[in-house]
Amino acid sequence: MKPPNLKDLCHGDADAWHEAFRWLWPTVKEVAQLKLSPFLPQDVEDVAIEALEELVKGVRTVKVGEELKPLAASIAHNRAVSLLRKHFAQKRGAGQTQSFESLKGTMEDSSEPAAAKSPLDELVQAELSGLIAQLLTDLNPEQRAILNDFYLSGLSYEQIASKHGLAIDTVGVYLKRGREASCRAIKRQPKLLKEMEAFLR
Amino acid sequence: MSSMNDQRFFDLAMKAIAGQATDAERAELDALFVRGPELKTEFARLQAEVRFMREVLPLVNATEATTGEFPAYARERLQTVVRQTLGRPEKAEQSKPLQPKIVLVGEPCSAMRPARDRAKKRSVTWSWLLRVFRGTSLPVIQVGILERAGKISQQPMSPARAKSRREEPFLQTSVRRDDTDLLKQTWQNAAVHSFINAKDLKDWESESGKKATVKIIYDQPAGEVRVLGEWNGKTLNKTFPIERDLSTTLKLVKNYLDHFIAA
Repeated sequence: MKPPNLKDLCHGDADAWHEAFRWLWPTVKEVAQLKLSPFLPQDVEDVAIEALEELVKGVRTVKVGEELKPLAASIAHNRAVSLLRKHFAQKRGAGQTQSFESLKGTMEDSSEPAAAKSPLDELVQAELSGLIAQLLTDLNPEQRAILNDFYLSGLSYEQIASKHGLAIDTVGVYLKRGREASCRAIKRQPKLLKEMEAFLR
Repeated sequence: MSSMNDQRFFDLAMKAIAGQATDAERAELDALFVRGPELKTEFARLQAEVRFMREVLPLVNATEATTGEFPAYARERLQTVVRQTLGRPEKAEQSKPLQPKIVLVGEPCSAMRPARDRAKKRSVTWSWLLRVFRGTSLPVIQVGILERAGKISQQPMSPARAKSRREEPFLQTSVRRDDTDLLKQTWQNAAVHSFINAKDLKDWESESGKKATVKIIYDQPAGEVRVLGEWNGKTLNKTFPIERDLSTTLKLVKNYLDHFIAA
């Protein structure tokens, strides 16, 4: 499926929106699932739908159709994070929301697992959307496949080399280039850069 | 540090962070820390970046996800947001005119309509009218509506969330009176059956009655109108998703039925 015609979407064309919803649905659902499936699996679809609703309201801020997916992913992510915060706040009985930063000290004895937190959670939607779009541009599919194997699948240098038919040394080169791309993307997001620096202190 | 040493430190650090370093690689890394204490800061930076990559890569990957069907129950809700937020497009309305015919399918009294109305009908309608005047029977139209009893909520809920709250999805919202009126107006003489649960509706749908019967089912939870039945030896089985609004969809259904009966 191709990105929908942004002009038609901005004019409220029902058919164009129907296509856009079908195109964006796998993305918003996947993101909602990533965050919610361990804690609130029953809310995955609702968060995905709410993300699409918010996207309709923000469509005029987008310049090209290709930006819609990063925007949809960032909205779904932030909505899921917000729902998790509410959920854990209610669980603690306080009925108040707190930043994940402030919760760090109390994590060990609370019911909120550390897996619910992420350095991305403090980013506003536009920053996260920009970050995703930047990484999509900077990382080619081959690079991304190797980064996924290392960071997400936990494959060793040897396993990645064998899988992709590369020399072991080349795997390290790919990972380093991936790191450089992520550093460029982080530098463009001042809030995220601050978060990362705070982590080092 | 030379670029070669730089790459070596990077590889050793990444392996150590991922828990893949051998004892020898770990010892080599420790030796590098002794020679260059600033590398410890670099190591901590890499740890933070690894964590960042583990968080951000799934989001980047999600933008390329293709699996998962957009749920029918969300269509109308989202199209309503589109209409409320962006309005109706003038251009689209002009380029895609909907011209419902005035004939009421399956209603013998429709043949008694004033001449000025009949004059507006398209050619396909004439064959249908001929059939009426020649005394050919027409299919019996029945309308089924999946009513939703219980409290009325603003937004339809996903079946998963509804289930988690130990409530049946059909209990969440109610078919609006306007919608029911619209169906009754569209097929004025048709028998209207209301159902409060999906199973009863399904049983009714699969009931085999007279051969010349057409059933029109407004299934709000699924966001669609289904047309089922048999007429003149032909089987009818078509689903019309409610993409714009119910009124527009009913016009399409009516148009389709006109053509089907006239053919």
